Amino acid sequence: MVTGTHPEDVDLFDYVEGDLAAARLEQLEAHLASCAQCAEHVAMVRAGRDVLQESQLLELSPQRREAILASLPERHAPGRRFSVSPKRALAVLVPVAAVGAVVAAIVTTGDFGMTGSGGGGVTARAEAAATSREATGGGAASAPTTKQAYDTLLTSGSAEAVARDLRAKGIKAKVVGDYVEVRGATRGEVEQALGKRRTGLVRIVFK
Amino acid sequence: MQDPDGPLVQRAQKGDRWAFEQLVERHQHRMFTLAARLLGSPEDAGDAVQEAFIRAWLALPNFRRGARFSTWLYRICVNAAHDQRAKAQRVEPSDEIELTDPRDEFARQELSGELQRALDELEEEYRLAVVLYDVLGCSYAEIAELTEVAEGTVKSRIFRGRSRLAEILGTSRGPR
Repeated sequence: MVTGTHPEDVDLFDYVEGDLAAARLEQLEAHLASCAQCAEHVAMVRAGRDVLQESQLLELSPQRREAILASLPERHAPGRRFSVSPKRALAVLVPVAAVGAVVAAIVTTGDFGMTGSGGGGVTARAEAAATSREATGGGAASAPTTKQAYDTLLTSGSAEAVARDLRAKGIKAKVVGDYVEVRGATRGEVEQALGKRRTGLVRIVFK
Repeated sequence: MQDPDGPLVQRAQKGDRWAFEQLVERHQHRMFTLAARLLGSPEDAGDAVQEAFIRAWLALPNFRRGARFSTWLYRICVNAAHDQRAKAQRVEPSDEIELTDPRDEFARQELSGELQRALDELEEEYRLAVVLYDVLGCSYAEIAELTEVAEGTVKSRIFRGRSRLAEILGTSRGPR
């Protein structure tokens, strides 16, 4: 379709993409041969396309992937509707079982597994597999022992800065490996103390 | 056309975390690229992707059979990126997360380059269209479904987005 004397954008786009039927292609090439404005426009579009298509895919870091997998909340049975928003669910439904598995690994090894490129993957995969097995193992999924079932929060910044900020608000916090251990404070108190910090990669473990 | 993610999605809908982990593996880099190109920051993009996967996991039981999973997932990612942008504008910058992985360093370099500066200048609808089509290789039909516009509108947006991008780059590059 032609508006006035120039083809429409969609026609020119199909031309650039090589999607025009032969008859229309011939018409359009005849127009481009005599219309410097459209020819220049097509050249610009090709230049833009080339720059975009030469750009590379950006990769998510393994640390972030592990943080994603570790922060997936427990989910209710399929089809059941949630009465809380995903945001609220993120804050409230941090999976006790998954956290238990991760914390058990921390307690056992003293290594949070987030510093290297390899250790974290193994830990989180093992945790996810353990959770999956637990979920499909039949019967009610029982929480791990109370001793291991520590609650956690993920926040932004460095572990040192988070611990320093919490201590400044009177909360007992110390850096252990690359997570922050909090004692004697509730989740609500810590969230309030963190104020405007965003969700991030630093894990706070409540004991 | 059969959704290549279909079997994993069905398992993940029933609560299979392993299946969802495979879906994360499969889509993580494209999700990150999408969020990073929309937001221009690897930290904000990482937060948006994390939020998007959590939302997807929670909403998966309600995912409609017959829909394409990747299109649904990318839409969640675009929404999470919008929310992240609004949040980043509200929130005072805290201590930057120490991103030491080479992938983060590469992302940071890419996002401080000419292409990203030009993308940042594009109108949102053009930026989204060219990133989905030219960078991620989505089809017109997928983009039309994701952005809820006709395929002709998608083509027009890609066309104008590319043209505008070249114009900005030509201007910013100056004489060579």
